[in-house]
Amino acid sequence: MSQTSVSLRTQIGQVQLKNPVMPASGTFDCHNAPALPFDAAILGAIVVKSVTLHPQKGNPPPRLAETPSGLINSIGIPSPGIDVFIQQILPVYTALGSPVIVSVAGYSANEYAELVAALDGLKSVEAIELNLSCPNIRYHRMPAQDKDLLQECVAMARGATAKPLWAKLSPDVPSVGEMAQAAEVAGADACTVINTTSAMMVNIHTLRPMIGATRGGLSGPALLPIALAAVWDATHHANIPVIGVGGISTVEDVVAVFAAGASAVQIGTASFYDPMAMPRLIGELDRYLKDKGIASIEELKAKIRQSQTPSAEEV
Amino acid sequence: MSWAREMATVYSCVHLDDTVARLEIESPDVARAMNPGQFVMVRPEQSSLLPRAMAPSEWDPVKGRVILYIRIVGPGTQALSALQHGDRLMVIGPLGTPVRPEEGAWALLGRGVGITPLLPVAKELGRRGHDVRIYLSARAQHLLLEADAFAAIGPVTCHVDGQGASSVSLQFIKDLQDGYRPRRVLVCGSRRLTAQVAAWQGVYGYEAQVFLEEKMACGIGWCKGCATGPEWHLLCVDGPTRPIEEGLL
Ligand SMILES: Cc1cc2nc3c(=O)[nH]c(=O)nc-3n(C[C@H](O)[C@H](O)[C@H](O)COP(=O)(O)OP(=O)(O)OC[C@H]3O[C@@H](n4cnc5c(N)ncnc54)[C@H](O)[C@@H]3O)c2cc1C
Ligand SMILES: Cc1cc2nc3c(=O)[nH]c(=O)nc-3n(C[C@H](O)[C@H](O)[C@H](O)COP(=O)(O)O)c2cc1C
Ligand code: FES
Repeated sequence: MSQTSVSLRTQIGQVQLKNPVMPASGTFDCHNAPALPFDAAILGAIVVKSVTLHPQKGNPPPRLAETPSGLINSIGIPSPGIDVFIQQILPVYTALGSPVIVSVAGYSANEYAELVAALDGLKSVEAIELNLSCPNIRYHRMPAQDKDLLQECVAMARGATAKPLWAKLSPDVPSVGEMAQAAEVAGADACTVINTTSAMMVNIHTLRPMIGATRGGLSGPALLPIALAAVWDATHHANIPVIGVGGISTVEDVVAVFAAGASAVQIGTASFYDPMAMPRLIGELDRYLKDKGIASIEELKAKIRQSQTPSAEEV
Repeated sequence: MSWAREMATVYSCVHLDDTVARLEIESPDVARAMNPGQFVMVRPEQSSLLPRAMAPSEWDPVKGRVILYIRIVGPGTQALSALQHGDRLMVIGPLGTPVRPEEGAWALLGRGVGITPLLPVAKELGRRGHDVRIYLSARAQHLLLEADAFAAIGPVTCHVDGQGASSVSLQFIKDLQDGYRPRRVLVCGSRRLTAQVAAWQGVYGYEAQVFLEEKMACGIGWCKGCATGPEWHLLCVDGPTRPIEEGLL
C-alpha cells in the first residue's frame, strides 16, 4: 500500500522542522562559499560551523587526509568570534528561510555561558548546539570526554538561555549513553550524536603524521556503524531526543539511524562526496515513506518502536 | 557565481603514457559556465573516494565537452584515467576564482600537467589582444601538452628534461636580461619555476601569480580543508591562482 502524500515534519523537543535533514556543523557554508545551486529553504534546518567566543584562525595546514572509507580532518575552528558572527554572518543564514541552529565551542564552562548568552536574545536562532569537543583550557580535556566537565558546561549554558540546547557528544568515551544521561541531567534538550572519532594517517615518505595537527577526526562512511551504536546507547539511557550524525549518505542510512533511535539526522562528509546529498536525501526519504505506505516521520518512529517491542511469544 | 553538479559521460580517455591520460567528457552545464583559471571536482560514478580537483585545458560550450589532462599519482587519478567511453562521472563546477585577464604583456610558465590550466588563460589573453609568451617544460617531448595550441597564441619556448642546456626558467631569465618586460607572470606545475619567477620579481617588477594545489575534500568552500598562505585563504574559493609568495611556503 503506497502513500500519495507524506509529511516529513519533525519535532525535536520544542523545535519544529519541516523535515529531519540538516547539515552537520562544519560541513556546509553559505557565507564564505559560492552560491548554492539549490534553495537552502528546503533543508530541515541549517547548523552553522562552530563559533568561538574570540576570533581564531583554526589549525595549520595540511588539514585533510583521506582514508579508504572516510576523511580525517583537523580544521580546528576558524572563527570570526561570536560578535562578528552575530553581526555579519548570522543574517546571511537567517535570510535563507530555514531554522538556524548555531553551534558554539568554548574553552571553558564560562565561555559556553557567554556564547549562549550572546545568542539568547536573538529571534533568528532556533536552537544552540554545544560542540563539546573543544579542549578545556584548565583541564586539557574535552567536555565531551569528561562527564563532570560536560555537566558543568551544559549547566552553565542552561543557566544562560531558555533556548533549546543540543549537546553534541563524542564517540570516544566508554559509554555514550552515560554522557547523554549526564547532558540531560544538566539541562540539555537534545543530544547530537556523534562528533568525529580520533584518528591519524602517516605520510609514508616523510614517516610523519599526514596532517599538521598530528591527529584529527575521522568522518564519513567508516563512522556509520559507530554512530548507530552511539545513537542506540544515547536513546536507551536518556529521555531526550537524539539527532543522529556520522557517515549517513543514503536513505537506508537515514532509516537505520532512525531505527537506532534518532529523531532527525545531520549530513556531513556525504556532502563532500556529493554536494547535492541533502536535497537528494530529502527527496529519497519522501519517496521511501510513500513506497512503504508510511504517512509521516511520527508514523515511521511508531513503526520502529513497534518492531523493536518484543512480541508475546518472544517474552 | 554558483556551481553545477552534473552526471557527465566519458567521450574518450586516451593514455599518453603510463603517467598521463587525456579525458574528454560531455558535461554541458559545466562547459557552458567555465572561465579561465577555474577548476572542477570529478568523481567516477562507482568510486568510493572523494572527488578530485582538476583544471580543464579546454571546454566547448556549444558541444558541451570538457577536456582534462590527468597525471596518475594515486587511487583517485588512477580511477579517473581508467574510465572508458560511455562511463559516467560526477562533475562539480565551475569552481574557484577566474584569472583576471588584465591589460599588459603576460608570460605563462608551466611544467608537466601544470601546462594545461594555462591554455584557457592564454586563449583568453590572446582573444583580448594581449601580448603573451609561453614557456613550457616537461619530462618528455610528448608531455609538452598542447604546445601547438599555445603556438597559435604567442611565441612558445619549450624544454624537455635532458635535452639542450637551458631550462625554461633560465630561458625566461635570459629573455628578461635581454629586455623582455612582461607585466604579469603566471606559473603552474613546478616549485622550481615558482621559486625562480619569485626570485626575479623584485628585479623586473612584474606581478606574479601561481596556480596552487592543496588536498580538497569539497571544492566549494564547505569543509575549510584547503587553507593556504599566510592568511589561510581557502584555495577552492580564493584560488587556485594566488600571489606567488604563497607558492613558496
Ligand atoms: C585546483 C586544482 C586543480 C588541479 N588540476 C589538476 C589537473 O588538471 N590534472 C591533474 O592531473 N591534477 C590536477 N590537480 C591535482 C589532483 O587533484 C591530485 O593529483 C589528485 O587529487 C590526486 O588524487 P589521487 O587519489 O590520485 O592521489 P592521492 O592519493 O590523493 O595522492 C596525492 C599525492 O599524495 C601522495 N600520498 C598519498 N598518500 C600518501 C601517504 N600515505 N604518504 C605519503 N604520500 C602520500 C601521493 O603519492 C601523491 O603524490 C589539481 C589540484 C587542484 C587543487
Ligand atoms: C571538515 C569537517 C569540519 C567539521 N567541523 C565541525 C565543527 O566545527 N563543529 C562540530 O561540532 N563538528 C564538526 N565536524 C563534525 C561533523 O559535524 C560530524 O559530527 C562528523 O563529521 C560526523 O558526520 P559525517 O560522517 O556525516 O561527516 C566537522 C566535520 C568535518 C568533516
Ligand atoms: S576544499 Fe573544502 S573548503 Fe576548499
